[in-house]
Amino acid sequence: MNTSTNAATTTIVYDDKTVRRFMIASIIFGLVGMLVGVIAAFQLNFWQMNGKFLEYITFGAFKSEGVSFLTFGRLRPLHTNAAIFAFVGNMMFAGVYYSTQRLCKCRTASDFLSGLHFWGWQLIIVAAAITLPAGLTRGKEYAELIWPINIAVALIWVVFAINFFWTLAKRREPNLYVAIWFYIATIITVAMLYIVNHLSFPTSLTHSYPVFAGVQDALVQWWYGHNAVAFFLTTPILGIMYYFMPKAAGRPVYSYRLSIIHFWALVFIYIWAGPHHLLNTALPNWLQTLGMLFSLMLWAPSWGGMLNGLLTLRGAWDKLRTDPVIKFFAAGVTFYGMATFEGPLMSIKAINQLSHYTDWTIGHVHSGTLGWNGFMAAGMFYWMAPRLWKNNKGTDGGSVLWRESWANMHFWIGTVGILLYVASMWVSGIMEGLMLSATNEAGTTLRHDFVTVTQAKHVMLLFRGFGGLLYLAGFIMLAINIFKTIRMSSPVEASAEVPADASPEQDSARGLGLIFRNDPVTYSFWVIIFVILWLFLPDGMDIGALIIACGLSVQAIWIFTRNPGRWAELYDSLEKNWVPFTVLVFIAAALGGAVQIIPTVIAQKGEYMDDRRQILYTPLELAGRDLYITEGCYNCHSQMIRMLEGDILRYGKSELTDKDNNKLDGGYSRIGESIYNRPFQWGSKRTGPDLAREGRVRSDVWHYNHMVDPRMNPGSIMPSYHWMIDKKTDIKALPGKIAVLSKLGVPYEAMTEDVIEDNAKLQALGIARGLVANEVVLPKDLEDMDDEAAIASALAERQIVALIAYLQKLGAYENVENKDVTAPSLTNPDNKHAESE
Amino acid sequence: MSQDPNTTTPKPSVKDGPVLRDHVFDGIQEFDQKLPNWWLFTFYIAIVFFVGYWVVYYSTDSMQTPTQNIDAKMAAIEGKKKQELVAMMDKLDDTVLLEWSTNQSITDEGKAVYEQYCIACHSPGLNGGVIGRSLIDEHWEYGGKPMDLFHLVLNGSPSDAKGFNGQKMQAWKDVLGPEKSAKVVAYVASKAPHVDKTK
Repeated sequence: MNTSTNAATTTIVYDDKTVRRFMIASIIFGLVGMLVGVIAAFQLNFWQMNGKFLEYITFGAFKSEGVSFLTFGRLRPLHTNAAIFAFVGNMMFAGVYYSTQRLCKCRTASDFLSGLHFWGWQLIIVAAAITLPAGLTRGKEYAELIWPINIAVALIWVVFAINFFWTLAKRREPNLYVAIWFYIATIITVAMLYIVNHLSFPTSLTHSYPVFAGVQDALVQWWYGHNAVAFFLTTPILGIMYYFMPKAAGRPVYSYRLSIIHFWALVFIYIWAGPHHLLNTALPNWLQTLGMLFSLMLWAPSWGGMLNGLLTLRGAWDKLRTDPVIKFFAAGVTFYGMATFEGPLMSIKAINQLSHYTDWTIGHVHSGTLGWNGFMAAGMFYWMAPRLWKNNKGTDGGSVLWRESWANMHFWIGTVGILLYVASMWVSGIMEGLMLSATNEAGTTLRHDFVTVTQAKHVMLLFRGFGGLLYLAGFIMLAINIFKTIRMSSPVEASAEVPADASPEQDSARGLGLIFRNDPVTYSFWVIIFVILWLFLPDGMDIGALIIACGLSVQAIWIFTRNPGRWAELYDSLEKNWVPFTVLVFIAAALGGAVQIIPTVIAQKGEYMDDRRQILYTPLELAGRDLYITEGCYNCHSQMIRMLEGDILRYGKSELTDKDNNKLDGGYSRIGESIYNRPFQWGSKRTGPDLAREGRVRSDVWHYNHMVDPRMNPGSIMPSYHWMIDKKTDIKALPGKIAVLSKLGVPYEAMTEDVIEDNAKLQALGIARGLVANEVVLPKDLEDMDDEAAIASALAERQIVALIAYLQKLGAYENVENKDVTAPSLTNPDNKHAESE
Repeated sequence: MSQDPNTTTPKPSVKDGPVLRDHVFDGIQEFDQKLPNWWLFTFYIAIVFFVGYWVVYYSTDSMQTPTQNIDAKMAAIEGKKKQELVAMMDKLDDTVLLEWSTNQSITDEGKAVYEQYCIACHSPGLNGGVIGRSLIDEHWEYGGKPMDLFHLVLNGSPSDAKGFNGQKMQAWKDVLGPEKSAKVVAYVASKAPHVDKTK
């Protein structure tokens, strides 16, 4: 420990300007993100909210059936990105910058990097707010931003990392506090997840195709998506909890050893659970099983964080009545506990049958984001505001908030808002899941058509929207309160007296040796290696590996119990060395993803498919698919028929034919049917019906009319896509796109640019002729033409034609007859199961 | 808990009492409480369940694969569908359908089906539209007897048919099943003036 008896002390001034900036940015973008969320919520009640409402509020001066950049498909990505990366991102940075300086007893390493981090991040957010409504998207959830912005995010994240680790290197505190562990895990893991899931090949400045396709892309996406929740929305906030909660409560943290156990368990286990987003789908069964079982194992480590938070309040529970900060923290941690209990529950395959693709998932996510992230943010902002801006207007001369009563009101409004939101989504989601799979008594036909279910949810969704509105109202109170507090105060830079001689016993060069000469690390490593071998080795050998893993575990426990102090010392020295600590965090976080992704990338390719293989898109269909992604159709429509009776009865029938003109078998979706799709479009929510076998179920005319006026299907809440009959398809971009796809391994025949364009035009003309012959309502600019051939060739250039071409192709596959190559058998544990196909 | 951060805390002598660690981080202290037993057990049970589940599934072959499972279920459903269809076919002919078309309770059920599934193309007044044919004019493209309509609803337009404005009716067998299909035909027969009532 540093002692104050040492006379040589020096004063350091913390960089609180950066913290203030991030905090204000978080509040502003929080308002924006939540407002967009409320609009998106009501869009699912009233289709007019997709732009038609502008006609009402301008009293008809602005005429429109819908505005492209206001549709749900484009606003929902804006909402999620704003809430995650702008609101929670900035909040996290504020908390990290505030606490890290104080926990390290030194100013952030570089003011320049802090400034670059701040402005870079805000620029990224502005770029996102422009590109997403414009329809520029990669088509993967929470990873929608286009590739130039991806590069900017990666660079700014590296700036953050350098600034953070440099600060650790300069610290005056020998040990790293538990909050810092969580920050390290956040920085390292988010970098890994973000980079891998954004690997793509550009076709233009604003468009790219991911390097992974089909099932690979699905797995990588949900490895990322699930762990974005883990390492962007959970670990940094846990770190913030570990700093701000004991500070606000004035109580010691409940248990240091619980911190250690739940930290490492969380970092290691979380990564494996991604496949629980793909249960009952075409994802290989071994991955689904891992996803389910690791989700169950994740329950206790998650609750470890909750316990350490709530039990820290022991002896300070009285403050719950008076202090809004403690109210927010206590409720936030409670919602965290609720969401992390619900998560493993929903990861059980049988429960997921009901919950997946329904509103239940949306409710689950929001109990985490509104309850945990939003409330922890509010608690932290209320705590920091009078410390970052001083006014000395408190009764004891300290600084205070403008209105504590407003903070209390915010708490109650917010809590009621969340409860309304979550409860209505439970009811809606469970009802939706039950209705969609309900059959007659014999189980041969479905009881409800899709629109009936949509309509049945109407009231529940109104409550949801109202809950969101209440939550937004509470947050507006926060914004006013903080703004007024700032107005009546002046910013101050906090300072601290620290010993002049920096860097006590810490970060020795030999520290790296800790990775290797460290019993707990060595044993954990070998146990995990043998567990992995057990998963993959063939029958017989696998049990041997399991026995060795168990033996090693027993030996480790025996060594530990003989002399627990030794392991405590080892951990203490690890805590003093951030480099080996960080290396170990990276290894722990990387393992699960590597074990799942590498075998899948090796084994799940087009050439290895043994039952069905997707038929490649023609150039025009590819253009249509990119438009489908641009419009964000995947936000409401899945393309994955799960291995469930309800799914198969509803969506399984195929109207497409094979080359001998026989109807395809259809049924549940097989891996091969989407194996070349970049990005995959399995979806995560069915606000509209599944489209996996949409091809040829309905006529071109039906699709044309339906896209212009979805209300031809009474009760539909789909927005009108009338601009698709006006806008032109970018045929010129196709040769470049197909060249990139070929480079990525899609087996396109060699075609010259002219062949590609002619092929697209010819197919488009065929569809357009059919539409014109059947007298569809023409776009305004074509109405006055009277030459049918001329109308058809003009209509052929429109986006709607490309989209129809794509929709009519959905579900096209060929049966693989004689397979020439097989994937290495060790890459697929499912080969072990007898009679597996 | 006004612990002076600069003095180290002596470890309490009580064995199970809360141990306050001697590190202080920016004024934050940490107890070193034992892990709650119930918490440890939930963790252990989840780990044991992982190992057990995997061993039972991959090493004993006593569980069906998801593929076997769903294939068996769907085969059973297909069998039942065939039975239902056969049973309905045995029961049904033009006479029966015409009788049903005068039975209010049956046509009410048929009307509900019609309004849910058919009006999008054939319109609420049965007079058709851009996509579906009129059901109240004199023209029956695929035969105007009740059983012709029944087969049309079950199987959709014949595969070699040209369709109406290039559009063909889908097969409703799997969506409606034979019973609802028959009832909707009964409803149409009750409304359409030109249904062929000859025996």
